Amino acid sequence: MGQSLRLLLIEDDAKAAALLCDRFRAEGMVIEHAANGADGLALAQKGGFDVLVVDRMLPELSGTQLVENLRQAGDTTPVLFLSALGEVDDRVAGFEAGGDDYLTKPYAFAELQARVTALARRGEAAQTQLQLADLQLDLLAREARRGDTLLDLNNREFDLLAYLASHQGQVVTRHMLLQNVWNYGLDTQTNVVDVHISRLRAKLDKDFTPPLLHTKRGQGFVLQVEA
Amino acid sequence: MTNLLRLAGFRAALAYTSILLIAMALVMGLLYERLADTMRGAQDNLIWREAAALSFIHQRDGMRALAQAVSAVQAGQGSYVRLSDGLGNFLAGNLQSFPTPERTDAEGWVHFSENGLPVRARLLQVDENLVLLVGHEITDGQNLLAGFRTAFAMALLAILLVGLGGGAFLARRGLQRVEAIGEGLRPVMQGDLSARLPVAKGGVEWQVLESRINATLAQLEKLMQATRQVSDNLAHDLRAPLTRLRVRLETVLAKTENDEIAEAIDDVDGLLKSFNALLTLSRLDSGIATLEAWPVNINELLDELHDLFAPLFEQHNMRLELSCADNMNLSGDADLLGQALVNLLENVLAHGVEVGSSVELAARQEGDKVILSLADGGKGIAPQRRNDALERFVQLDASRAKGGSGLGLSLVAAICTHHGGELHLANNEPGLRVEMHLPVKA
Repeated sequence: MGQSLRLLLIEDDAKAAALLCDRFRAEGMVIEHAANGADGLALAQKGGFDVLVVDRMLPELSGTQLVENLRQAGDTTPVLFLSALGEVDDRVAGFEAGGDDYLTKPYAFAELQARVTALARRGEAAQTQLQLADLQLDLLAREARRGDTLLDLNNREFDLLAYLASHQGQVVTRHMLLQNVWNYGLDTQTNVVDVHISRLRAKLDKDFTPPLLHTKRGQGFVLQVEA
Repeated sequence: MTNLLRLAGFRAALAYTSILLIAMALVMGLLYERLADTMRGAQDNLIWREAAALSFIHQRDGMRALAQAVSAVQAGQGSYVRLSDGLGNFLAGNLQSFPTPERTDAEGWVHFSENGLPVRARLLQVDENLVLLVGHEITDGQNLLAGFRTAFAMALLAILLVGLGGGAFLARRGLQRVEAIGEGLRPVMQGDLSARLPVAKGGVEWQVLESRINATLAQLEKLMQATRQVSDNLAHDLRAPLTRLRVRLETVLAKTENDEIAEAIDDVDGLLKSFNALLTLSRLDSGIATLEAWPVNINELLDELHDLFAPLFEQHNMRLELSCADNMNLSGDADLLGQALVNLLENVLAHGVEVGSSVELAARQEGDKVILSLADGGKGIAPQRRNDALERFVQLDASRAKGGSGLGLSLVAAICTHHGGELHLANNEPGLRVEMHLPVKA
């Protein structure tokens, strides 16, 4: 990723903030923390952050008010709202205040990380080629190859693989896949995503080495070459 | 345009007008009767006086003088006199032939027409061989009475028209006020509890009603806000520690690949799903959630769900079939509708598995309704247990062995209601057929 990402976390739950700071630092990001809205606004106004992660409910100055203030001052730093509410109207209020993304608690850390990374990368030219070991994806021609062999994937399988490949090395949760590959924020108690993953794995890994698509128990899936 | 006769205000006006009409008709009838009597009396007096004068002449001056006096009465003045012998032969007067009486009343008054005008007359036996007829035209009196009759009829008609017209006007005005109240309450029905009725001018009874409704709405809004606050706090206080727990578990899992930890994360997720479903359900049921209605492309939604679930059904040796008319759209919350269908699909996988059977996910339009349905070939639900199936936390399988929270179908029902629709359970012979009847415009 080259230069490491700089994050500002504005979150009043001290324990959660400490946990998140540890995890983000472990992932090689630079993170600063503010425990209330006023401090958060002051820090954010100094600038220099790639992404702001803002809790919706904060003491002194609510998350939405904070972001409204920033936007009125012309600050366009991407903002990800965290909320324990998660109702549709709260989400709409978040976007109206100038938020760029919205994540409902509880979330998997992997999903928070993926969204923060995506926000930081926003504006960069979209990649048209993805590569991992001998896997090559051409996003324009919608073709996937391992070595010289063209993989016979249907549309959805290609989308699934492309999403995993664009997050290669990161754990991708079932929830992220449902939201980004099937486009609906659905809750399901079934292993419906796993069935699609195992079909994809059969086409992707069965006749090739090394295996690329791995299941992380309790977390999700990851596309990478495992040591 | 409501039928006037069904408006309470108009009915009251109608009843009141009828009573007024009957009373007025009675008064006018009596008045008319007295008037007619008085006029007849005056005429009769005139005739009696004339007859008395002629009779006096006969007694004092004899028959010749009487004949002269009778002959002196001119024709065309309204008075009629005829002197005849005992056999009715004309002797003197301005009536040559005895007129044909039209009727003779009990008191001996004779009515006939002369030259087309009505005449009232009296016959007097002057002596054994002399009969005197004295009469008078009664046209003027009759004309006057006819004038009164017309005037009375007009008065009654005017009362009727004023009564009905006024009743209709008042009833319509009342209806307009009622309609204004209904219109003012529409946003409340759609979930905007901050809406209030305008208290219009005039009509204290209406103003009292409108302010009472407004006070009720204010109370309702306060309660709703309190409920929303409780539900928000509950959500926050439960989700925040669960989020920390999940992140901690993930952190441990990232360091050591431990199956126990992975299962603990699964448990946290299961707990959260039940909690989220319960929270959504209570928000939908209590009405504190307002419907975020956007255009929903039903074809796309069903395609996505079919694509997502078909492989899982295949794994259970069933077929998931899709049947959807073209260009189906409705206005609603796509995430909620998708969740409802996911719950139905999960229900089939949990309770309706029948190896080799096919399950049909379908959408069709009937009038202004879109019907989303899922029909399976499983065991179905007995008709008498269908209402139970919609209750919260109820699992028809008493052992609760299949897992799940028991919220699935009640959440689907709440989502239907939230969209202004209904959930129907029917027999698919064999199996269960669940239909969501949703209005195209929420």
